[in-house]
Amino acid sequence: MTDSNKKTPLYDVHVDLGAKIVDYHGFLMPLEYSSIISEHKRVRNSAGLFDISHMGEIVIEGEGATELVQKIITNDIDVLPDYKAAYSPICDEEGGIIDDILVFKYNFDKFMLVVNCGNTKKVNKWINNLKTDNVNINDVSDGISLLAVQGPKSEEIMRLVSGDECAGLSRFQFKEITVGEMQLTVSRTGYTGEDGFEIFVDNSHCVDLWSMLLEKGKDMDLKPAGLGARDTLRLEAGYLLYGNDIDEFITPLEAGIGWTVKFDKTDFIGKESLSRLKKYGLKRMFVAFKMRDKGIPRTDNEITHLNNVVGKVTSGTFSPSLEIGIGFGYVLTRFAEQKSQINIKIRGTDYPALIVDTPFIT
Amino acid sequence: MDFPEDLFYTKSHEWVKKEGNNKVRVGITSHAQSELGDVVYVELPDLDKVVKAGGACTVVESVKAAYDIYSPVSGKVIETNNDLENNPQLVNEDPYGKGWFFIIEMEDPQELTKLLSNKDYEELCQTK
Repeated sequence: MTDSNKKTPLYDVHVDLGAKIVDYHGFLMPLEYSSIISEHKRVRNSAGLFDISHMGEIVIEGEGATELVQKIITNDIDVLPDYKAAYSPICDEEGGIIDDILVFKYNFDKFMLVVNCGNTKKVNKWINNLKTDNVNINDVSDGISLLAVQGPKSEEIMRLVSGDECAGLSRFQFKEITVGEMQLTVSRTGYTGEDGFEIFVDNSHCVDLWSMLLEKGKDMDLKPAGLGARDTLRLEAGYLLYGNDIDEFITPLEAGIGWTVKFDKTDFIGKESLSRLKKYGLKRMFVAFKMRDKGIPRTDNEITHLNNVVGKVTSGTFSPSLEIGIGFGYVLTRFAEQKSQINIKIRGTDYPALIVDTPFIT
Repeated sequence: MDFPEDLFYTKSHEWVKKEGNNKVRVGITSHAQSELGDVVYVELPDLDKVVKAGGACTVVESVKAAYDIYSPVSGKVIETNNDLENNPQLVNEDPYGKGWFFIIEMEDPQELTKLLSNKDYEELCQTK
């Protein structure tokens, strides 16, 4: 890791709150403030506030912006309305996933890509290699902070912050607003499976925004939540995590996000490989599973069927909502298609699990 | 953080309480449970299992990960805390009391002298 020990503007605040700090792709981030389970439940029942300033932001502007973005992502943003965001993988020529991102479309000439922190440099380099003269590419990650208000009380909290301005946003819509001296970009997006907002703010106002949100949200039980709860929440919601569930050796088709690959749009990187894969079939497929009884699945556990290894776990945890082990993994295609009886091998013992649809929670 | 005086400790964060001539009760320290976070599962050793000092004999799982628990002394497991099966959070709530793991009949009571005192252990936690 080259940039070890990067800090968000809220680092000292997290430490003062007694957070357990972990190194996440070179960023010192709060893992939990009190307990993962209580922070998780708060997000499910009321609302939690996350510092996710480690996420990267890359702005693409200019006449050629649409063309460039269409070329690098598998999803189609041509049909996307202005001021709306879309989820998409970025693939390499083989269809392997370079990153999974949110594309914010301001208009045909301006986009912001929100990328995973561990991939920011890689994606920036990838895009710059494809750059045409009629676009400007700026990695603005170091100057921008990102906070997420997530949970059923989020809309009420945002109403106290900016009246109807953001409360009226539809899912994946975003807006630029001014609150006091702060210029904010607010989107109705998140990674928890709950209603929620993500707020981009200049680093210089990040701490102020954090304090203001906690103040406005205090009657709605809004409290900080760490990356530990973010992980258990995203798993229950069925969201993939780059580096665990997807990487350059996995294609969107195998990962169960084939809906983000728009073969009908203009040419994009990876199209040929993905078309071939689609035609000839997949060897392995993503599955989400729930333990029948005991056992907590963890990354790299083997998935077995009648004593044969048929796959591997990529993410697993104890689900605080279901109070049982849940996880993601890849298995040989026929086992996924038939939703076969599978076992997860944990410390040498096979524990039965059930292949299920995501989200785990409704 | 709490480091009761009447207990022995290990570098791997178990506590040991002498109960009678050759029996000890074992659990994990308050420092350890705090580092683990919410404990959601404890895999206890079988009764009569023979354990070696420093050998992994139990697994405790928090939301984040699974961790081995090492036996502080050699001997035989003669009792386990069955309450942990349905209430693993006792490890967080009462690590030196209701959150105990197992009782060992020691092979050699002299082994206790190799363990850390509360002062030594507290120092170890602070230097980390």
